[in-house]
Amino acid sequence: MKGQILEMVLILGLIMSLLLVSVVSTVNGLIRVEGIASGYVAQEEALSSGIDYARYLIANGTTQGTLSLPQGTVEVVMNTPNVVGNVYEYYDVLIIYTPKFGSRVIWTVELVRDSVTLSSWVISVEGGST
Amino acid sequence: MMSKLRGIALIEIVATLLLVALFLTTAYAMLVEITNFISKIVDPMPVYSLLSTRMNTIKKDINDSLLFKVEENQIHYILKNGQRAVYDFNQFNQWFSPKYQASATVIQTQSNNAIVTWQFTTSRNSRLYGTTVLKKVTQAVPVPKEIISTSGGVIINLYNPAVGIGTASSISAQVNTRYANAAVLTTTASLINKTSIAGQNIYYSVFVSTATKPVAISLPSLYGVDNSYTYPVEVLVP
Repeated sequence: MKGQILEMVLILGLIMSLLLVSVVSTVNGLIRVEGIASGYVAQEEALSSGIDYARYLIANGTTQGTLSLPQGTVEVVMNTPNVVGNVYEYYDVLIIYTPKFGSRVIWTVELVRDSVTLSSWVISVEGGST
Repeated sequence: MMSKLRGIALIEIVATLLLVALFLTTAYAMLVEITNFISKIVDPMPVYSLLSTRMNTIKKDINDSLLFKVEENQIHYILKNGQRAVYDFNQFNQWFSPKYQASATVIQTQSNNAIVTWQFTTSRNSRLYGTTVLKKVTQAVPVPKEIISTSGGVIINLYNPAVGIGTASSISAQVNTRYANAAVLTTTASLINKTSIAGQNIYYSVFVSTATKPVAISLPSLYGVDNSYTYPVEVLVP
């Protein structure tokens, strides 16, 4: 008799464990969905970091690099600059943000640098998701 | 002996029923919680998607603008061509389906960013609320984008319009021009190609008056509508 009760307890325990595992898995999935809201703030940070990183790359004479952030990675690629008046260097910068969860976001940023005083300005930003 | 066995069987039945009841209650409670949780997230999703699209459009317009300012729950901005436009957050509920009760408040925290606080109530009485940061990443600095040698001087077209040359309030300045024979002359550089925004004149080009084509021009600071400016540099004339 005692053996039968133990058997039943074990079976019910097993069923409840399975139920609990599926619930935890579902809730985790939903929490990721809910994370979309915070994802927009993360995008703003990624764009700002990408622009700062582009300035850093220009100062170091390179045209591409990848930055790791807590929320994902930011890849920066730019072309050889178009130079006006031998002073103003216009760069078309591609900033690709790949978050840990969610889809990629790509921005095209036009950045101009004065090669004499090394001041730089962002003069155009266009965004899009993939 | 028989009554002892009956007692044990009864205990077994009661224990089994209790365990089954516990299992069913737990399963039901979890089901209710999961349903509520999913409804809370999924119900406002369509409006959240619309909101994101709208906010992205506003962000793009603000980024592309020369200048923006928040007044009385409205974002006023000036386009590159000098036109003025406005986003009225008092009309926020009219941007979405009438089945949502919506409201939003916008405040400007710094010259280059604003914070929108928004709230929706769905038809199933779910509330969705949050904030969106509208950050203007671009600057309206009047950097030269094209230098053209023409009869009577040099025209320098600007990427963004300027409001001043040399100082923020001057529309002309004396500049040095350098020639192939190493001679350096002083001449006048004037802002041209004018339009007007909110009573303020903005200029899309600089004209440097010269009798012959110079090799280089010492360009003074150029001031933009958002108070950004370039530093004095010498530019080569192609």
